[in-house]
Amino acid sequence: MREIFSSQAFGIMLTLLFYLLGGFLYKKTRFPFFSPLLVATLLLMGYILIAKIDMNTFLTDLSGIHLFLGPLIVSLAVPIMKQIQLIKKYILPIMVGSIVGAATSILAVFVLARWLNLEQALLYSILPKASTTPIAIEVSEQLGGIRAITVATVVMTAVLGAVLVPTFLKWFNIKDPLIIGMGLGTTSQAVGTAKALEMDPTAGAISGVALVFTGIATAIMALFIH
Amino acid sequence: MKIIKQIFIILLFYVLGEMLALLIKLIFPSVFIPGTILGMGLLLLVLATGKMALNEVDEVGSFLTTNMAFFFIPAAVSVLEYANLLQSAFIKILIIIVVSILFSFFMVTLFVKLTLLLQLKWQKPKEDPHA
Repeated sequence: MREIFSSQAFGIMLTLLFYLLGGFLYKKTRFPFFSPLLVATLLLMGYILIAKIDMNTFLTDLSGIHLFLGPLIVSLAVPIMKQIQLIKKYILPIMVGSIVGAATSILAVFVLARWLNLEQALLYSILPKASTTPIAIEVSEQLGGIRAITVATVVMTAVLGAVLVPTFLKWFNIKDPLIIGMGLGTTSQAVGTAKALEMDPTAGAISGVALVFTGIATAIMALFIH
Repeated sequence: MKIIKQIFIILLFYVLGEMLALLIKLIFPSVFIPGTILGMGLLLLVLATGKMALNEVDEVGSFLTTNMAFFFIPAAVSVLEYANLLQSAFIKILIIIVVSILFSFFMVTLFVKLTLLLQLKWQKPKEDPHA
């Protein structure tokens, strides 16, 4: 029995179950915090803590899922290709929005970190949070940040952004796929893009492009912070 | 067989992207572009230039991108691993994240609308030179 519970298949099955549960709760309630990603993450964290599962073993069990992150970013070429005409038409606002997204994120971190008296190393770890994980890690290490904190903040930003931004969009009754895609892509990268794709295919493709530009803009701006 | 081929093509572009990233890093050590983004760029290039038909990657590419959030669960769960590191400054970091998302979102929306407006103004005289 014990072998079954600690098997890789059980871990992945549990992840699928919690994700489906999140999807079900969201469908029933339409409450933004019931995002399947957030629900599944919190439930799995609870499971690890309550059942006293070894964190590293469990993450290794889930590596089958993690493996797809790279190919997934590559696959973004598919929704982008499907909307290529629209993206060509809006390329200027997409680029401007991405640069503004990267700049405002860096500026906000700088100002708030000073105001909250955050340590220098933490500041540099959080600074590239608007960009996608691989770029953020590279930028953070160049500046002297802590890799683990960067990964954690990028994920937290992405998940929170994908929950908060759709809420703002609803409050202000914004239906323009360009704004939806830009708002999600620049603030919460790939997780935001997933949310945008869920809301509207055009918004998803725009978000995918914005994610790339925001990441590159962050990396370029970081060169001047040195 | 079709799905297997599509998975192969996507993984191939992922590997090509990683190789290209390594090459760029060797030539220009200070420049960093992630391999995944280069892979996406390469795939987009062959699709946009018509060297490869979209249906060669459509099913698998669409499956992965429409269910994207699911694949982020392991990364999100791993935040727990850094709980000790984060603990002392957790509230501060949370404030920074939430405020900067708000700030970025409003500024991005503002600038996108502004760019659209300016673009419209510029394009109008071109369409109608007598105006």
